[in-house]
Amino acid sequence: MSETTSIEILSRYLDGVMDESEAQAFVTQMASDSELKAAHDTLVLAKTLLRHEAEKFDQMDLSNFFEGVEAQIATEPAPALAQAERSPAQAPSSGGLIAWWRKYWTPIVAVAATATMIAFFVSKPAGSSGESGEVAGGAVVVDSIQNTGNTTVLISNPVDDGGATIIWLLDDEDDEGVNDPFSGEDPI
Amino acid sequence: MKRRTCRRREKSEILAPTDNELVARSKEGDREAFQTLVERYQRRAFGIAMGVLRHPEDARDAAQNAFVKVFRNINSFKGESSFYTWLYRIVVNVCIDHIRKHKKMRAVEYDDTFRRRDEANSRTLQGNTQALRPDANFERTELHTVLHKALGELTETHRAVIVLREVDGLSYEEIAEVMDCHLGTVMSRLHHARKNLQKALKPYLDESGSYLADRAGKGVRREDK
Repeated sequence: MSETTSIEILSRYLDGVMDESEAQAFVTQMASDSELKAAHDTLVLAKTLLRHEAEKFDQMDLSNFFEGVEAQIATEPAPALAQAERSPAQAPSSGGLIAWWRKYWTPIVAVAATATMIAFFVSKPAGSSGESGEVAGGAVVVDSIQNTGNTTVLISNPVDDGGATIIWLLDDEDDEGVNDPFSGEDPI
Repeated sequence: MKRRTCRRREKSEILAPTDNELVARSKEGDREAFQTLVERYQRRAFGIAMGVLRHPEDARDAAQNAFVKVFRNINSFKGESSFYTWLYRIVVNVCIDHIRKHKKMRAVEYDDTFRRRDEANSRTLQGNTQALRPDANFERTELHTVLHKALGELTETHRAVIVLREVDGLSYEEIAEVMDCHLGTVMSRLHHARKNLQKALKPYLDESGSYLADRAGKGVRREDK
């Protein structure tokens, strides 16, 4: 049996990991193997010495131990999360609110600003600027289509608030975007 | 008239708050609850730190620093494990950080406190001209010296594992939780530590393995299985 194997088996025996039959077989083997027995005895000795040493540690003076801990935490507040987890029914102190605001104001302001911007762009009325020509919700309603030669014109009637008519020009034969509706030229 | 006795031990056990109760109160800022926790576990924390650091002053500082960390991070303890395994993990990490920071083992030499304590109880030879007395106390002192040296040659993680197993009696699973490693790693470190301790102590046992057990005092005796 290799040294490593014997240590592993000894460890399992000493730590009580073996089942009853396995432990009994090990005891029988140890009775006829002097080296294994010696290894077992040294490990038992080591454990005994460690525990005896621990008993000496228990006799060492630990007076004022907590005072040493308290000196380091005396000026620290109670765990912050405890304050944040305080129930809503309890009225938080103004000092606690101020401390909470100081800690969390940055993400709160950022989220509020983002939400405001999103709400602004989503709710922006159609045709208010005359540039994009989108009605509320982003959909463009085509009221009529006129074909003139190679040009197709889509006409969208003004919305209720008096916004400008939007005219889209689609030229199937022009791939270079000459009749691009955003070129500024009035096709009609 | 019958005399009724009060079973005070049982009553105190009933009234003593549990670790989880003390943790919950500590989270709310109850300093007395936190102090109770400290006083309940300061010996064990110090014992682990001594096992790893091998120096009383460093061990005391490490144990105190561990409790400071407990205070600052107590809200992160969710109660999924026992409080003491969480505490032990902090203690071990503080000790490992201390060793790696200083990159030295202050207690490689035999600790003076042990020597002075043994001198009070025995006439152990300490540089004087008295003849050696082959008594149990001397053998125990010498064995402790050997043990101390052997432990000093282990890494801090191996020392922590052997102390947690042999002194605190933690299971493999609990040690894995404390050391934040796999079960196989715990067993590997334990085997390595035991192999080194065995090599160091082997010369002190004769062929039968019973020589020291028969002659040594109560500090060194064979465990009966």
